[in-house]
Amino acid sequence: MITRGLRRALAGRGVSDTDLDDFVQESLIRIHQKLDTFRGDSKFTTWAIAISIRVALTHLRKRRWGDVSLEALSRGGGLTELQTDDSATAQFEQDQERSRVLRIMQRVIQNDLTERQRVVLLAELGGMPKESLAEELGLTSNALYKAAHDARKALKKRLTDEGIGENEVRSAFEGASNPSEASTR
Amino acid sequence: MKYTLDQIRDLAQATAETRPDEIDCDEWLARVAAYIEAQGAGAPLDPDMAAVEQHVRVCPDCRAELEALMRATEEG
Repeated sequence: MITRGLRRALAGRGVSDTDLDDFVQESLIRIHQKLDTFRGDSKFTTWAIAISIRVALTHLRKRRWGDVSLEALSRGGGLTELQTDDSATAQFEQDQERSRVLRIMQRVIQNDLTERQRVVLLAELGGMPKESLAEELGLTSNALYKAAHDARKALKKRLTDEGIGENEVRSAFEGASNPSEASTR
Repeated sequence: MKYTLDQIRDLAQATAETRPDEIDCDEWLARVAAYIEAQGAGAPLDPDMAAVEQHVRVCPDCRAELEALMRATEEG
């Protein structure tokens, strides 16, 4: 049941049969460990497949990320501010409202967040898997989520205080995407 | 580290979708099976289920897991 569910869930991700077997074995252990969290408000099989997908995608996220450490990511002040790459800088220069949102977010990240909130927000944004980040910082997944949530709340509050509501933020970034991706759409 | 336009857009959008009371990824995992079955049955969403939907708007990892779970539980 787990194997069939995972095979369907991971279709198209290039997962080998060996990987699939490993994911299933680890999932069975995890399901057993989490049995007391099953609330009985769904079929057991649906819940078990959800757990096994968490196990498999966590592995795949960590594999894709490789062994880049938080220290390597932080080198040269890498996790202290929200810097844009050259392409994004050029794109922001063409849109006043989008630039305003960016400048406010940059100010909040640099000045208003705690170091933990800043590191968690910027490392996650850079693609570091939550599980790797939690391990390196010695945080529970709950504490990690709280840091990112508090950071987003601070960003939203400042934007709102500056007269930019959530609809304005959505509208400022509507249709925004990296040029190479936009050209292939 | 320098960020792309896509990454900054994702942060801005997650910021717009942020709510004071969100569930975290572990709580989301505990609720998502009931959510997907309720969706499949066309049942109205209660507040617990609405929190599942809100969470995937701010968490790309859980969004990917939800998409995978939908594929795994599709009929046929």
